[in-house]
Amino acid sequence: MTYTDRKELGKGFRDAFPVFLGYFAVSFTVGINAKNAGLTAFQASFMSFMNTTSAGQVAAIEIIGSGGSYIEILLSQIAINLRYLLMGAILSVRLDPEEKLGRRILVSFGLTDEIFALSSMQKPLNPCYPFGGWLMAMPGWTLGTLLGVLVDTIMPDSVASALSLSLYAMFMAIVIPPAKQDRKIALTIVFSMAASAACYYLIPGLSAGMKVVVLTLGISALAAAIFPVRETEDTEAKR
Amino acid sequence: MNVYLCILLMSAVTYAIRIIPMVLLRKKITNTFIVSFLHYAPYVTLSVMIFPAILYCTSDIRTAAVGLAASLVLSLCNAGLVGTAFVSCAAVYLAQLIF
Repeated sequence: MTYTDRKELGKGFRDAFPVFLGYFAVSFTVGINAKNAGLTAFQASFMSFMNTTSAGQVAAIEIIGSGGSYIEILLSQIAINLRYLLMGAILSVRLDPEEKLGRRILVSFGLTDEIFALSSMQKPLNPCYPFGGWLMAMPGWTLGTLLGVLVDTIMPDSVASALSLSLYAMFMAIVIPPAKQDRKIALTIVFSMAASAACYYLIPGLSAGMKVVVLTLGISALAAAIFPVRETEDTEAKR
Repeated sequence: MNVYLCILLMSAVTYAIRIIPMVLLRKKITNTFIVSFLHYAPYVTLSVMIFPAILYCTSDIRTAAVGLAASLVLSLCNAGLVGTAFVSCAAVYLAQLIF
């Protein structure tokens, strides 16, 4: 590890402090959800430590709670986390092409929406930066999940009820700001919500996990066919 | 279903997705359809997860509607992830005192 690596690791670690706070609050809800689905405190925190992916975990918890199948877990994780492929691609091409594989994989740990947002501001990107961010953010995510499961029992119902909205509010904060600058994204969001509501009310037999998979594949392909984007445009829209 | 097997499966899939571009991609993606598909996919996924589930996550659909409205206004004002989440929850809490 060179001097620059240590400096970048520390910088990523410090920059991610707001992410630590946000993750701590939001993962509390993940913990509450996990508990309601019948997971133990250890199982829920182990899941957070091993994945660090909010939407993916919420979907998986729902599938586990409703007695779904491994194939639903597999497909939902692919569909929900497919975005990391694009984020990974954007960051990967920004690394020094001479960078060794072992060091490139450090970036993989930092592939969450929030750490990606931080890393995408770094030009050029040192792989130690996103890894430092993960070292800060992951404990917040894991600890929050643990407390969500444990503290739920002594938390008043009204507080738990209000807090369960925080994850959805965070998703809103991820999708709405880019939609303000891009009408194609805004249309895609409105159409997706309408289609999701239609499935929810008209096809009650369709599980939440499968709904995410089917609608994501279908609507994304539709949007890609109608509103193709160029790479440069795309990198920009990713904030 | 075994919960630990589920977690390991999730982790394997999620980290495979995170590692693949680092291994394979050292140049830019050029296929417009793939770039576009990956560009829209997260918005579709998150939108599908938000609605209508957000309406049923609290103990009363009216307080959830207040929370939805609050989160929409806050995210339109770029209040950030943490700000949007906290203030929307506070709005739900206050609405619960009224309804």
